[in-house]
Amino acid sequence: MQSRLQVFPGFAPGYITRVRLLIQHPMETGFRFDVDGTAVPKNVIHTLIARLDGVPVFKATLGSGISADPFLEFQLHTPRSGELLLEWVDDNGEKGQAQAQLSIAP
Amino acid sequence: MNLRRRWLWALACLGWVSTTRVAAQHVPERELLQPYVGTARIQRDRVKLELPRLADNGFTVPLKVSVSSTARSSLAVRRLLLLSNRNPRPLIAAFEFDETAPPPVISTRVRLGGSQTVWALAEMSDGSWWMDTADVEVTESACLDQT
Repeated sequence: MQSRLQVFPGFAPGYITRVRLLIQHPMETGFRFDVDGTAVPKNVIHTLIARLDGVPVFKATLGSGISADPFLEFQLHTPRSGELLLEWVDDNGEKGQAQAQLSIAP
Repeated sequence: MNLRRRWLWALACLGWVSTTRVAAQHVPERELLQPYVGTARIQRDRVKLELPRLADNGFTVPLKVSVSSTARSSLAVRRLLLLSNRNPRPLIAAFEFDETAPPPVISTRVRLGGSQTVWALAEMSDGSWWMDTADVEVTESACLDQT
């Protein structure tokens, strides 16, 4: 699964890091039919977890209400440098991940 | 009653029937929120949901939701829910935060199956609920049902 991750590291006083993630995924709703009239099975990214040095800091549960090629932007509190790892799973059990090295000036 | 009047009556009735059917597609607020919030009182304010008033395309509607920081810093947002009253699956997305998380600002893109109201609900660490709603007119619905 292709994805693009952008991280804008935060500095003092708040150390708030902005994370932008774009994943290439059809996010099939399960309500659609293909040209032959057979139902296309539901396949969405249902869980996405962000970990900072292995510690889960953010979790998103997504559904068919999220657009194809999901885009997500959120904020994290990052008081020190570390490794940010984003992992997600879809209904077919296919996994994807993206990581970024955060370097926060003390 | 002449023929023309009868025709107009029939048309008016047809219009009434079709509008009531459209209205029935929207899930009422109580029914929509009850499975998630239960009987808790929901306050307005604090949560801010930004959606375009008119969306040309229901397949990707940009959405931004933010929860303003509280005066008491001990109070953090535990959960943030996005609900739709017209999509076949009302829960669009749910976000969970740890205690250290800053006041959430989340942007994403959503699918909307027609003109409707979108809810953003935030649960604080003390168990209180806050919400905001946004009405959207969708000109081209994401065909989420089998139509």
